[in-house]
Amino acid sequence: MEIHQYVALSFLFVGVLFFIAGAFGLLRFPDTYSRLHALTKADNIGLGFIILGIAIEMGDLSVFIKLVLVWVLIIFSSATSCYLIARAALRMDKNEQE
Amino acid sequence: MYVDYFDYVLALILIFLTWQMLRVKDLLTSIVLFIIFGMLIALAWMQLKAPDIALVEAVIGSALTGVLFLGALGYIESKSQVVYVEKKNVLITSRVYTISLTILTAFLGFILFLTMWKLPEQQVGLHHHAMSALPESGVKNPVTAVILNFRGYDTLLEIGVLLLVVIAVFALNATRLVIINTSLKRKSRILAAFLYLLSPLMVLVGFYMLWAGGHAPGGAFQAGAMLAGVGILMLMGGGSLPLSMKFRVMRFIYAIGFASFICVGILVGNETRHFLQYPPSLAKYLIFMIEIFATISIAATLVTLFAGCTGLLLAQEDHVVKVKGKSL
Amino acid sequence: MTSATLYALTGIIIFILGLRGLIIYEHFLRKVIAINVMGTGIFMFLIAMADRNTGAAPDPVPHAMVLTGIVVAVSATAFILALIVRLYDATGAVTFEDIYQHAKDEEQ
Repeated sequence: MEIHQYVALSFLFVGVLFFIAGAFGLLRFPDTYSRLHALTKADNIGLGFIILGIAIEMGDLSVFIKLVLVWVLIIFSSATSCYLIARAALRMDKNEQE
Repeated sequence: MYVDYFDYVLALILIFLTWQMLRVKDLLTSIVLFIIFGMLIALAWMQLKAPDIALVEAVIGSALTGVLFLGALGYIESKSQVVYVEKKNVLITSRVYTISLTILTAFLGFILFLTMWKLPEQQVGLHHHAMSALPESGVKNPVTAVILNFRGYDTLLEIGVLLLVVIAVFALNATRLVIINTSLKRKSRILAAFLYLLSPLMVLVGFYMLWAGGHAPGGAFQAGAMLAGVGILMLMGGGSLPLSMKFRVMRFIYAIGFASFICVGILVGNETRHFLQYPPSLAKYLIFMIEIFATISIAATLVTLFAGCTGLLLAQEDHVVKVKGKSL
Repeated sequence: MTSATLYALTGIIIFILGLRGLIIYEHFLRKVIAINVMGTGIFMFLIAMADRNTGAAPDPVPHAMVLTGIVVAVSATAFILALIVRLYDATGAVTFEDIYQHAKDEEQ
């Protein structure tokens, strides 16, 4: 294996570590809000590292731009769904308090 | 001919996930596990060298079906005053019944496994016939050629099934309703802003997938599902859509996929003496025209099915708008 | 064992688990999930059988059939769910027991 493949492999590994950290947070945090915090942040950064690893492996500029676009779109939709889940959880908590 | 370790791990995860998904007491967990199951199945399709099916499974089979399930569950949970007692006993309670059923189905599985084991490991399917006739079909993607040209009857009836299901869903519910407006209960500015920014991109990607179906994985169904995603997000964030058979335009949109397919079949049948036998010179344009109309039809149908499964088509005061006095 | 055989076996197991789930569990939504799982198992078996070609590329005809199958399965699921929602709206029933109970109450 060449040097750039080792670099790509290490980026992929770091990305997977972030995903595992996010999954751990999902399992161990006590509350919906803290779980959302762990998931959205760790998953987006993990995805960024994985995309960096794939781009280094492929070596093509157009593929890299497409992958970065995919990453930006996933960040958008992940942020929106995080907000919607938090809003629904807040409403459920308010209903339970009444 | 060795099996990759990844395949073993994936197969084990899929079996474990199936068992857990049916077994958990909470229905929300069950549906979320179903969505994850669908995504991993899409990964399995990629391992089986079927990228078209991976695309369809990820978009329609997993995400759209999951959304339909969540909508139905949300409607049932929001209307029920009593927490459903099933959380205690999930199964039919007799132990003997469960165990004997498990043994019987395992036996059936064993028979199926023996049948599969006897099939030859290498065999020639219809691959050669499809590939040798591919230049005459008008498209370069073999799966699209099979769907829209070689086995066009199947796709014709599939679009017919979609039309039938829309009619049936409308027949179940209140047919006096005209415009579905969800702004009162579900209005969300963030979702509206998300749609405002991204729906042009979604429509563009949808039509690109339609165009790319000729030479790469893609096609009418994936494009239709993408456009339906825009409609579903609009309904979820508080919008209003005219989902009703009372408008002539909507009737046209629902029926145009099926109707255009039949019309093309009859018109080419005049020339080539067989229903749906495209003349090879015109095949490319006919396929593309059928796909465009089918995409529009499929998108409208899927949005209406979402509204039907979420309880939006039932006559309730908080989310529907009736147009009074105007004949449309 | 080739990868096609492994996936065919997985498809059979998923189908069997879905069939057992369809018969055993009571709640309608769980039954519909089980039906979908059965369909997915059968599709996996079909595509695994399509991968057995002599040569590199798989057979496109079963691929087309499974594509049709997935769309028809989604249509059927949507219709069943609309039926369930309508039934729940009319009677409040989510299992067969509830329907029998409702019919008995209606008789009196």
